[in-house]
Amino acid sequence: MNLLRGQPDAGSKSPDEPADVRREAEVFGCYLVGSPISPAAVDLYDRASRVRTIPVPPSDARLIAFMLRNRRLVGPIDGALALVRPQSAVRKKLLLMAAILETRPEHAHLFLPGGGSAIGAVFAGVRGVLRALVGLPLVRLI
Amino acid sequence: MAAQTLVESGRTVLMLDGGQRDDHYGPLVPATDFVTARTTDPDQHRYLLGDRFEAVPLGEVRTGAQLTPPRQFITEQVAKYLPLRSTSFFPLESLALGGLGSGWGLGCCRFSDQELAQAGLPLPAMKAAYAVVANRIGISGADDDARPYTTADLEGIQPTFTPDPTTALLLRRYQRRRGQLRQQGFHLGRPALALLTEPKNGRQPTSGRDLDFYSDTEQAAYRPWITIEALRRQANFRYHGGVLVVRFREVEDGVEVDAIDIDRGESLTFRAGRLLLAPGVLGTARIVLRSFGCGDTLPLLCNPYCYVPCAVPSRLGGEVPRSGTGFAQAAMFHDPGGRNEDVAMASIYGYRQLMMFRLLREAPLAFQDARILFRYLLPALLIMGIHHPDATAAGKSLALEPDPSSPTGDRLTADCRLDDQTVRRNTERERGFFRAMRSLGAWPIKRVDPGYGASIHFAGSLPFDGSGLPFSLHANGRLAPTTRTFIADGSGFRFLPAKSLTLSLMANAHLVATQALHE
Repeated sequence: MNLLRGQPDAGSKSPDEPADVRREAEVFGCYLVGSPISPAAVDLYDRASRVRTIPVPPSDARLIAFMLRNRRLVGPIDGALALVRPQSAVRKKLLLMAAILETRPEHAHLFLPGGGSAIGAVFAGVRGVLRALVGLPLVRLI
Repeated sequence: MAAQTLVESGRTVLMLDGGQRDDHYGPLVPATDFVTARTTDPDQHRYLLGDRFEAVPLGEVRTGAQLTPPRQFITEQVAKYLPLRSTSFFPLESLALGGLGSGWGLGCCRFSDQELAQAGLPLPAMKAAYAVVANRIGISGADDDARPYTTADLEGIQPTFTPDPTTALLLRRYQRRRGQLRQQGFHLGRPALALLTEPKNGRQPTSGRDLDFYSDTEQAAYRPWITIEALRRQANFRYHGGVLVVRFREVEDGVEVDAIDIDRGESLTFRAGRLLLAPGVLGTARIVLRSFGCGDTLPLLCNPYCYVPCAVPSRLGGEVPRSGTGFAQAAMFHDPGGRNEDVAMASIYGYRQLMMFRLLREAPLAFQDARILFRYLLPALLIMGIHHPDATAAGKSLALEPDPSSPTGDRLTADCRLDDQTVRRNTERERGFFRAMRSLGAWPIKRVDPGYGASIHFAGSLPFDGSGLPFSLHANGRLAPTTRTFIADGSGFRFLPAKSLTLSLMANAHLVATQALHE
């Protein structure tokens, strides 16, 4: 990977069908910002997934399929992967989606610094830990 | 700077330059402020992420990964034309129009008399050269405790800009603890930056759009292309971009320069009466090693560097004003002896322009939770980048080795290791910076070592020594044993102070050009 130029990984391939990618965008996006995302954000994720191909090993493919079927468990699996496999394909896909949402005017306010409360931040921290605890066995089992 | 000096003297100048530039993203950046762009522009992803989403860090983070899409031209063609093999040195090089100055942080520091002497630079002449350069580029700064380490006695300094609220708080707390911190050798103040706060030579003062890492349209920040564009309007200046200088040879009445056309791959030869080389230390090393046709190794200086995110708890969740700039907000100097000769420097930045996504993956949390936490944390976040001085020592060297896959048939190799004593000394010094920041209510979160070379401050490969031996420079910048070739970048410095380097590089370039005129 030449990060500076953002060229696709040599020899990489994506097993995803276009419909899977759009479904991924909707599920991952909704998880990240807590509400349905705009069609424009879905389109961008679709395009980004073709330009920045992320190789998906079988273990991550199984996790993604599980996450798309069980939306409520996206957070716990993400939290567990942040601890045990932060460079996993799942995390890379979520990061790509987060970056796209950050650059959408309709979602930008959720990423601009300033705002939130101490209670909200503590809640997010505690929830993050609990999610990881729930997600760790899932990541090992799936 | 060297070209401007030569052109102003009436000489005919041909500049050969890598010439890479951005014509793609720059025009997309709107003439508005960062927050307005973020909340209204439906096409912001193009310049914030890139059309190939190249700004999203999906792989290993390397030196230069923080470059925004409109700045990524700085490293365009580098992997192909400036190959480097090393497991211990991770520099950033450029073939951009005007070189690495296309992305420099604008920090301006005049080396102290003691530092100039250690570096082998002539004191009175450099002092005059600093004044010339400062007048050309325009510098803003403040008359505070940092000034002896930044602009010192330079005149014509414009007022500084308003700091962000977190840095302003840090500066107020410093005033209360000033005596104690100064006793420990720490001095905090505003940085001197090549950032206009008043109009100058047709350039506009900074408007606080906070889009400095994406656009140069105001020209408030000094970039070398501004000088080159002005020079191109002069009859005695010719610019030839898109070329890589490979080697030179002195002939009976001049110098011949071999180059490669970067776009077409063709070989080119140019001829001149005198040659001034200033492609940067690593580029100069390549050209000189090839030209002398031998397998020597060259020494190297490079400031050891780390960065440390710090949190100011009282600013958690605070307001972030719409107006601002992404450049350094404050500068802290550690001068334990009080003699301004062994100084470490920390530049202190806020964080907004570079977007949250670059931080999200660093948190060991689910992205949704990390997003909420970072929104709360970012107003309180300061990034402290610490530079240490570097002196000549064994264990740091450059060489060329054959590489048939390279257009030049070779590649640079670098072996750079700091000795244990230097590492221990730098570590102790960093602990001092951490203590100083804590005493101001800024809590270091994590020390990040981006690898040796990430300071992007290089020098010392062809040291000034006056011996006349190959691979050394005469005091006037002439490369020994040549008669018509001068080195106008930092290759000659025998010591590399930790302070912001570029002002001294520009002053030296002006000085070498002046001396080349008179030899």
